[in-house]
Amino acid sequence: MMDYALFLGCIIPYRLPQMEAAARKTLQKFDVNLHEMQGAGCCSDPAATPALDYKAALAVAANNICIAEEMELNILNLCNGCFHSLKLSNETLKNKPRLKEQINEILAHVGKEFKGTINIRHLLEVMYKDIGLERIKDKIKTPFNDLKVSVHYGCHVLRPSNVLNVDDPLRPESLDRLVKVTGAESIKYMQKMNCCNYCVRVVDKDISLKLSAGKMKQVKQAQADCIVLLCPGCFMQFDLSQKEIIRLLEEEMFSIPVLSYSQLLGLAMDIPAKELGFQFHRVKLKKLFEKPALFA
Amino acid sequence: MTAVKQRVEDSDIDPNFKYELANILGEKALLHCFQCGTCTSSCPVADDVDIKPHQVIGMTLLGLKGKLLQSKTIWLCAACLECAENCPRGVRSFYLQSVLKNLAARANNLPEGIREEGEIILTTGLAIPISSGILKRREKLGLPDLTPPAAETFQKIAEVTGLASLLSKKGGKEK
Repeated sequence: MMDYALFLGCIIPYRLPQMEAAARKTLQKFDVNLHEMQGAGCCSDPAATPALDYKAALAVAANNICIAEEMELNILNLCNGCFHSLKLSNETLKNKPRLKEQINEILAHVGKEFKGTINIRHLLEVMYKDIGLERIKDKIKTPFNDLKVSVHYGCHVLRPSNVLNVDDPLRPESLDRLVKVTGAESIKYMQKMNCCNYCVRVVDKDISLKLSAGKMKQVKQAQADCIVLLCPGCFMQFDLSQKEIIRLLEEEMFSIPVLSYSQLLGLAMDIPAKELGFQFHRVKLKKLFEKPALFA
Repeated sequence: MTAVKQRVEDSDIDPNFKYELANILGEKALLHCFQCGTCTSSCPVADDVDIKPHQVIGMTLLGLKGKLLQSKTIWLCAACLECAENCPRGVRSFYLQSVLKNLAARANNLPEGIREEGEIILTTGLAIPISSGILKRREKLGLPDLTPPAAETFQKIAEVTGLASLLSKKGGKEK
C-alpha cells in the first residue's frame, strides 16, 4: 500500500476533470491510497508567478508543500507543471538555507513554516518506478492490438533533469514503455521531444499555435492513431485547440484524439469510457479504438 | 537588424549588472557563457524573437540593462527549459531570463497576459476560475468535492512580496 497527498493544481480539477477521474480509477487498482490536500491552490505555475517574482513563486509553492508536511505524506502530482514547480521549490529550499529563511519569513504571515521533510513525485515515476511494468501488465484485461501512439512527455516532467531526476531528458523511455505494456505501439516521429508551447499562449497565442502546428504535422505524417501525454497544459493545446492548430497547416482537416496515460491504461483495464471522461474531449475518439464495448 | 548590432553608448552600459544578476541567481555560471548559441539552437521560440537567448546573455554580460529590461521579447518564452538543460557552461538561461522578467515587470514592462494570470493566481489562489459546468462534470465522474484554497493566503503572499500593487496596475495604470 502506498500513501500520497494528492496535489491536483488548477487545470486538472477545474478544466480537465477527466484526467483526474482516470488517474484515481487506475491508481486505485494498484493500491495507491490518495489523501486530499485541503486548502491547496495553484502550484505557482512554471511560467507566470516565477516571471513576476521568484520569491513569491517559492512562497506559493512552499505554502502547498507545508500542507503535505503537516499530513506527513509525500506529494503525488498528476500535472507536469505542478510537479516542476513543487519539486524545484522543494529542492531549492532544502538546499539553500538562507533562501529558506527568507521564504519562511513570508510564510510566517500566513501561519506556515517550510521544514523540508517530504518529497515530490510525479504520476510517471510512481507508475514506472514504484508500481512497475510487471504489476501493470497483470492488471491489463484486453491489450490493444493495433494502436499507434505518439508519445508526448511534456517539458516539465523531464527538465531540468538534474533536479527532477525522472528520466533521460534527451531519450526518455518510461512513458514509451508504459504505453507498450498496454499492447499499443509507441511510434517514432519527428519533433517527439518538442515542447507543446502552451506556456507561450499567455504572451502570444498566434505564435504558440503556430509552433504547435509544426509538431501536429509530424504526428499526422507518422500516421499516429492518437497522442498520449501526461500534462494538462499539453492536453489543452492538443485537444482543445486542435482545430485551430490544424487550420494553420492549410491542409485538409483531420483529427487526432488526445488521451492522458491514465485514460489509455484505463481502457486497457476495461474501465468504461464514460468513467474515464472521454465524453468531455473536444476531439472525439470513439471510432479509432478497438474496444467498442467500452464506448457503449 | 538585431538589438546587439545597434550602436551602444557608454551611458547604456551598467558594468555591475551581471554581478547583480549572478547575486540574485545565487550562482556565477552566467559569467562563464562563451556565446556558443546552444540555448538559441534548442529554443522553440528563437525564430520569433528579435533578441535570441544567447544574445540576452551576451547583452547581460555587456551590461545593457536598460535595453534588456525594456525588451518585449524576453517575455516570449515557452518555459520548456531546453536552454537550461543543454548549456555546456551550466548557464541556466531560463532562470536568468526569469530574473530579468522580475526586474522588467518592476520597470513597467509587463505583458497584459502575464499580469492577468498573476493577478488571478494571487487573488483567488487558482490559475483558472471555477466554472459551474466543470463542477457538474466532476459530479458526473464521481469525483470528490474540492475545498477551494484560502484566497487570503495568496493575497497575503502577494502583499508581503510587493506584487499586489504591481498586479493591480492594468496596462501599467492603477485600476
